[in-house]
Amino acid sequence: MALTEDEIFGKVQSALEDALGVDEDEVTKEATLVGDLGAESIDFLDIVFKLEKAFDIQIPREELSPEDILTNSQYVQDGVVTPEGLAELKKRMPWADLSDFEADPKVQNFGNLLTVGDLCRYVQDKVNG
Amino acid sequence: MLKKTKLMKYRQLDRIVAIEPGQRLVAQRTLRSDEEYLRDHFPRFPVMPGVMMLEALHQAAVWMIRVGDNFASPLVLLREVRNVKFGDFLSPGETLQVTAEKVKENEGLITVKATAEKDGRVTVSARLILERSGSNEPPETDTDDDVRRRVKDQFHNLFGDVPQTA
Amino acid sequence: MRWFWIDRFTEFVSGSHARGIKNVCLDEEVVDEYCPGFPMLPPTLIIEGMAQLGGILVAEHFEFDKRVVLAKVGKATFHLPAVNGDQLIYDVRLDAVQPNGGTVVSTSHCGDRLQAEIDLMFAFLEPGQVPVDGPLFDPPDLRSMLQIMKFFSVAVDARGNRFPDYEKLH
Repeated sequence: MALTEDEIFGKVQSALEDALGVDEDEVTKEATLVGDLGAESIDFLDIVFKLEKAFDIQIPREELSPEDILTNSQYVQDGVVTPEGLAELKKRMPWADLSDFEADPKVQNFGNLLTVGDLCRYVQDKVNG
Repeated sequence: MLKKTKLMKYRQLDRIVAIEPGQRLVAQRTLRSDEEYLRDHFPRFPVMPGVMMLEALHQAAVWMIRVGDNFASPLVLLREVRNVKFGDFLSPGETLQVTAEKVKENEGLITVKATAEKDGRVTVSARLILERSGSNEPPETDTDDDVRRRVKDQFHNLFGDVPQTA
Repeated sequence: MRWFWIDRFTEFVSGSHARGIKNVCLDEEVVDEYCPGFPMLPPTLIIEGMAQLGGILVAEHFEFDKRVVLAKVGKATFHLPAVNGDQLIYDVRLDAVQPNGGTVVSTSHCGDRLQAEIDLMFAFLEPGQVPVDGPLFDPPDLRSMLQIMKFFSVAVDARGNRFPDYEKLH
């Protein structure tokens, strides 16, 4: 079942509206899930359930939350992700736009990285890939 | 017949801090360590059940509406709750500041946004839709008048005279 | 006052669904005093009944090896108040599970009338997430709670066997 970008965006938008209790016009492609839409860790679980249902896909936890990379001393030094760590993150999350994070790769910045657009690209890879 | 004052077993608001009738209500709820159900929730980690925090939000919404209507409706029924998020636990001794605000009213359905804060951080939030209703008992029983009167008394017994800001 | 918001299980099929009964009684102070002159079961306690059935459904799926807490009420709709003398029939279906949580969809009926529809999400507490380590219930406490709710009398486990036993309940 190949879905268009617009169809994917529409369903992702719906899922985020339901999970986060926000209005449709707040859910733009550039909006960050944490900063702009107020998502907390409890909401990520809810978002995963809703996306799995909407797109009939499986979302393993580590694909959206690379906690294992961010807590690995091989990839993180003094709270900053190393070049090796960045490479691992890019491998794990090829659909995410990491350019802003690369400019200041502090672990504490990672939480606010993901945008609605990133999520759409993730779903697109899963559904059409 | 003994007059029961201040009695409402499932009371979730200790006191009303501020009220704009029909628009906004701010109240407080402190969890006491001797609340009986804590032994079941949970035996090894006593915390306020999520639904009880939701009930605090619900009661704030109901009183906000009732006072705004001057207790005109026998019942104010909860029709729908959406997006209730339980963000943090409440342990004995901790206090929730509960706020209910009317968002809109459409065809008899009142939408309220309600939150509870602990130490200035929102730990519970919900969107509630409530509806005024009669008791639907036969009018010959005068149930509606009876309930109206009793609920008004209940409010004054529970909260005393609450200063209202228009 | 016990924090039991279902009276008993009537059905339990591992990984699928659970059904139970809640009687609304005038002698419950909560019912009598809530709306004076109009005894009713507070709707949030109907949500709690579903959360108890649903929480056990989700926990049993992991053989009671997870610390299950109610994380969200996605949506709850109440069509009628539950009044003294009503017998509510709760039906909870397992919707989805993940290693760190689960969702259920549920209904409450009074006779053949739909009384409420409730969707819930549970999360599993990670080690170190709360000040207490280990289970939220002492295994014998949880076991006896399930026993008096007639869970063991009706339950069918993941392999289709009746009278299941669970290591984590000992």
